[in-house]
Amino acid sequence: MNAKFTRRSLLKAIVAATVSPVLISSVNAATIPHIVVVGAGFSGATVAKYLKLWAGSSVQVTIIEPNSTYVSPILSNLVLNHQKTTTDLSFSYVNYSQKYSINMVHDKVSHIDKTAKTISLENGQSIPYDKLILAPGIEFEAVSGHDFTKVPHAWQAGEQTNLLKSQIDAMSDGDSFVMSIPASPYRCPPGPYERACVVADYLKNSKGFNNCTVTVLDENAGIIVEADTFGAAFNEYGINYIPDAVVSSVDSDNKVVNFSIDGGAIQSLAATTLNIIPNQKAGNIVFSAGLNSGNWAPVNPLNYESTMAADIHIIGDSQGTGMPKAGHIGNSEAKICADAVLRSLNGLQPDPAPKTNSACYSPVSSSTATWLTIVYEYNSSTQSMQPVSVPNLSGGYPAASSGASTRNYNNMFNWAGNLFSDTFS
Amino acid sequence: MELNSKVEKNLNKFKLTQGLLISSLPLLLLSCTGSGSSDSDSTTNNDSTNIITGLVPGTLIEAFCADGSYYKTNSIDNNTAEHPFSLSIPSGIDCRLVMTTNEDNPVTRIITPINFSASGTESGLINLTNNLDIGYVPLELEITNIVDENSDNVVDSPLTIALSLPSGVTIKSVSYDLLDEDGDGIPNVYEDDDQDGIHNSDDDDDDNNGISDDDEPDNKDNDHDGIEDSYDKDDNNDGLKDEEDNEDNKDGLKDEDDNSIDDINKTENDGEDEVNKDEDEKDEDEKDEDENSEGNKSDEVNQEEEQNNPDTSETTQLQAVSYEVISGRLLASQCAQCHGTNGHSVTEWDSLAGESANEIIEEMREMKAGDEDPLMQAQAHGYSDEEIEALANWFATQSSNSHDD
Repeated sequence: MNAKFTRRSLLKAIVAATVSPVLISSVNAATIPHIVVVGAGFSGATVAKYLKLWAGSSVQVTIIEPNSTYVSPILSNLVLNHQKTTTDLSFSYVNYSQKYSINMVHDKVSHIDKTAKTISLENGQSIPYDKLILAPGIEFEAVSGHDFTKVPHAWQAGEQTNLLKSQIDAMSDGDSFVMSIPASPYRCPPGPYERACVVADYLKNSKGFNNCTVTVLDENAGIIVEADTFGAAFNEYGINYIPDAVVSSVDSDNKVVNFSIDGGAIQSLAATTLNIIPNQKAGNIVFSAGLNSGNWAPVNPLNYESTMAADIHIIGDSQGTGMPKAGHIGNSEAKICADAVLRSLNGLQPDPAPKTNSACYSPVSSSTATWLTIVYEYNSSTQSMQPVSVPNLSGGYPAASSGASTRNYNNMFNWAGNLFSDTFS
Repeated sequence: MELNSKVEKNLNKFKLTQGLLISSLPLLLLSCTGSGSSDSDSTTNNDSTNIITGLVPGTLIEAFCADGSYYKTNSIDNNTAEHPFSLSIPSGIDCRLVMTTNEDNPVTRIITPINFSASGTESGLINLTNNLDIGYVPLELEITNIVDENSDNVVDSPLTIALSLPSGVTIKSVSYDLLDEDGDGIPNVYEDDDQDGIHNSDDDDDDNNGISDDDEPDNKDNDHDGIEDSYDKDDNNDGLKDEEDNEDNKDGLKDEDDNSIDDINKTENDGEDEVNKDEDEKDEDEKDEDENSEGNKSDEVNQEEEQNNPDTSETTQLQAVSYEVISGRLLASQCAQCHGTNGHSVTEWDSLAGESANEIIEEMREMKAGDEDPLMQAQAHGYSDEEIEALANWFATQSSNSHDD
């Protein structure tokens, strides 16, 4: 209103005047700290919800998320075999944000000013934060010639999932499905193996095609999780599994993938449907804010605070603790982070012995599934998370189902239903 | 000085009558977790309100709230200089007040955003779970007396009223507020972004780029209040919630006959909401069956619960204004991925809320020993006896049948 104060200069003045917020319990006039959450997937939606669940109106939480609807990658391989639709896996933030009094802003973050403690949005707006939590998920490494609109990755769910589905639907008996598996670590370790099984089962048993081929090019030296179960399923389906296969380029128009095995000569493989899942790294904002070391964001696993910047926390797939990158454990990390952030605003140290867990059910056909689970603890001498040592559990962690079963398939929906609800409701 | 003493006098009056005011319902909006549509519906239909009263010159009083809702009232002319007003605003939702004198005259009207100060905090953001009397508000009546550089009839800085706050009334000083994005105390609707003398909510082209706001491709906030339309319970600020409002954009056409921007907030989202809602309802049905089949069991649990924890029905945890580290809660939250928020499962899997600590401890011990459920066996091994005890004790504080944790 006053011409002397533009929005920008005034914000600066306010930011400069902001001192460490103090939460006051008995007085009903208070300075309320502002926590900004960037990204509202499994980890981002969970952290915002639990901040408000645990601290109520004593904190103000704003989510910055470009999409108005989240489509879960969890269960999205069941879109490919027509057992689910992307609509079934879609979550709106409307009831969620009203229920917990969370501010929703649909935009992208263009810049983080770590000194002034502000973020800038692409619409030009600047927003101050006391604590910033980044949950941007994954970004893909570029593969020469890879056009996502022709050769889907379908590793972020939604349009990509439906594109791959429609390409599989268009296949005839005798056609070929070729997919690649990125180098570990990538989002959802069992996911690509699960996909190969679901697609092979769909072509063979749902469509009745006995002459289709399914080929898996795995950049890893072998199946990285549940090797027995997935290996057995690959044999049963006749999946052509090629380990140590590094994708070098893609001809997206002609659906040809060029790769080399174990550093050998470049080979080419043509497919009717080609599904290239590129290697992965932290979301772009982690890199533009200078919070990465290599492909991921180093954080203190006691509070998920960046080791490179104060008051900025990174959770979910972008964090670099070595724990797996997946929705269930992203939700798990989010709660540790929410608790630690709230403690910090009250001058308390984080919980010195946090535990996180991961669990994942994977369909391997239209009626059977497997599972994998693990519990992590903090090791204070290495200052990192490690699987809990469990001498009395045969096989130790990670623990996996003894094989695929219908019981597991049914439990998969009990698991996902509560995970979805704990995150988005 | 005279005005101040009037404020004081009214505050004193308020203190005397405070005990007679209706006490408020707790913070319902935050109080539901753990299950599907019934929560959402009760949230959406939460019409719990509190009343703000005071004395003003003849004035229009407006409230802009964080859920996008809008409320207004006119003061009542009682033939004195101090007209009483009474405005209901939603309980537990942050709101901002704006008062307009000479409201019927576009030339002489004076629009005054209100700040409150108490205990050293000054802010326009007020949150009521109790009623509040703000006493006499000394609003300006003479347009030539106000500071208004861009002549949009909005005073350039808010009027601050000093209050002694009753319980259940919070003044919140925040570094960022969607309703007042630049933090100057003037709500977004009464900003004048393009400095053309017409404040945003009256300005059909608030950035002076020659394109009507309605035609801007990025116009996601029809009423300029800062709340995006899909999150805005009243996205045209006409005082009618969108769900009751059949004429959403004031163009004279009912929504059903209007092909234009009344659909501005009906994005693809809405369709998917429907689907989600259906699913939620389905979940709810399934859950109901579960509850019925275990009816006796949960009754027993409830009795036990009441003895152990007489105050489980309280919702204080969600209203807490400071963070309390509660033993076992963080560990217990790690069960929620599979067993639901605060132990309220929405699937066939067990709810942990409502079980006694001993039941959970015993189950975890059995899980470790047996291989009936290999996944839970593997999970149970991940936690020490002390950790299991702590999380079990916390779950025992959660009531089984309510979602009002």
